[in-house]
Amino acid sequence: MAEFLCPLRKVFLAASLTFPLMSLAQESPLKLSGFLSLVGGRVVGASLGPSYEGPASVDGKRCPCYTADWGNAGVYRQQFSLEPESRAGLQAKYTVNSDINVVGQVVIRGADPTPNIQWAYASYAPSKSWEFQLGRKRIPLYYYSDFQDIGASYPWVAVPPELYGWEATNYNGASMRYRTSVGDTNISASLFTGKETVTDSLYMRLYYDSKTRVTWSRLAGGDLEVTHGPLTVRGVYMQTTVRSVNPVEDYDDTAALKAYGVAANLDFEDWFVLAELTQLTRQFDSGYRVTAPAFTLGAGYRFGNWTPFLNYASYKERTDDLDAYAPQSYKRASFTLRYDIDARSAVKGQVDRHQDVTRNFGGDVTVLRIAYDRLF
Amino acid sequence: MKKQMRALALFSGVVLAAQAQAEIVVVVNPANQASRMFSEQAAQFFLGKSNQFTPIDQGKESAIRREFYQKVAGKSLSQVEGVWAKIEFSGKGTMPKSYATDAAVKKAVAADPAAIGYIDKASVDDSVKVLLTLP
Repeated sequence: MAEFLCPLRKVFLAASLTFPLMSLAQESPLKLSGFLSLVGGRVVGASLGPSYEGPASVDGKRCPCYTADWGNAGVYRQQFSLEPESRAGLQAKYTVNSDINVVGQVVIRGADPTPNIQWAYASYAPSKSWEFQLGRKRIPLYYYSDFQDIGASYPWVAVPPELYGWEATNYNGASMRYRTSVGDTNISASLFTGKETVTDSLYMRLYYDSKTRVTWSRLAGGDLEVTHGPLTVRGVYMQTTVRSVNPVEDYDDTAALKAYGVAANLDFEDWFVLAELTQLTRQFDSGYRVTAPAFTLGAGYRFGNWTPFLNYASYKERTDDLDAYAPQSYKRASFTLRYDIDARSAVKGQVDRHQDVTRNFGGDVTVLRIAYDRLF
Repeated sequence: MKKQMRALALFSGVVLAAQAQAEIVVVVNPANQASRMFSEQAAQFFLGKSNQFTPIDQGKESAIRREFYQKVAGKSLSQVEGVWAKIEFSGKGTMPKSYATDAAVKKAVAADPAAIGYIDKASVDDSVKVLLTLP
């Protein structure tokens, strides 16, 4: 905890030093901005039960436990903790000229206190329609992937882990985007390609005590987003080759991963609905296949500064070889209440009822969380 | 006499209402081809859904900004900041530049053929073209 708060203080210090500079020089080519989410929670009133067949602990946390962030191994147990999901980020954007800018973003997390460069790219936009980016970016696999760290921008405490969070969440490569409007319909299409190597995958730490090196190579995909009035619809396809190597566990396997997804959001003045449906398929070289459809569906209503939000999410793995792989499945219902303190900060409380359907990873749990989200 | 009193009361009521809620107009550069716009169309530029026009914003804490987003899209400033945080932190755009006065907004709009801004109706002059009035 102290290890996490220490770098957090540095971010605050950097922010407080840069604020006066930012207001003095509004036209400066360098723009600094940041975000913070302090999230605390615990698992309550849970027992594993006699039918539980999973591990007794996950990433060193005694079960019953709840994996809230798969990508960063953020796991809650029966003791209140700020570590699993708290995070802070600082972004610097340097505008070279009206067509070119360079962006860097560093994020620290309670689950991973080493400052990580999440984004570092150069962007070239020769027109309002075309934009080309080169460098390190987030893999835009899901609707909220690009801004999943920005708690202030969504109604939940965190994005649904039934969909979000794999061994790799970022990539080094290139992307291009085309934007246009047809009547009152806005269209955005993008293509991306690249590679990511994670030397000590936190995702794999959920399963193994030792380092696993994970490579996502020949990563390529595209998305299409259409907005018309209150409706936003996005479709995405991505494929990559995943190689996972853990010498201690004598594990070395490669899989062809294919992912499809569609998201649909409705945003009226008071009511809003968020829905996302995806399917990931991994065909392993060792011969078996795992298919994992997942969805999340939620609705909220804004009463002034208050936003209650109900959500249901499901993740279900299937395999063609039960001897080679034990599938996991989860279902979760949640209720979140958000209160906007001001335009750039909010507090949230959330209760989740999570069901470990396959009884093999963490157990059935109720999770209580509170969060403070802030933009600066 | 009674009739006159009622008329007076009605008149003063209108004056008070006008003072409390100034009309906001959406303005563009006079060179812009568009002649009118619905609030939903104007809102898409200020909420980052379209980048065909370049939005020009008013001061962050200003009353006109709060009123504008409420009238044009039914959005609170908290929702607006959330929308732009998504865009800025994911490399998909930059929050609109903001100016502290109607005069500064007009100057910025007059300087950029693709700009779109909003000001108090009373500040309108020849340097900008009105596309939409938000009562």
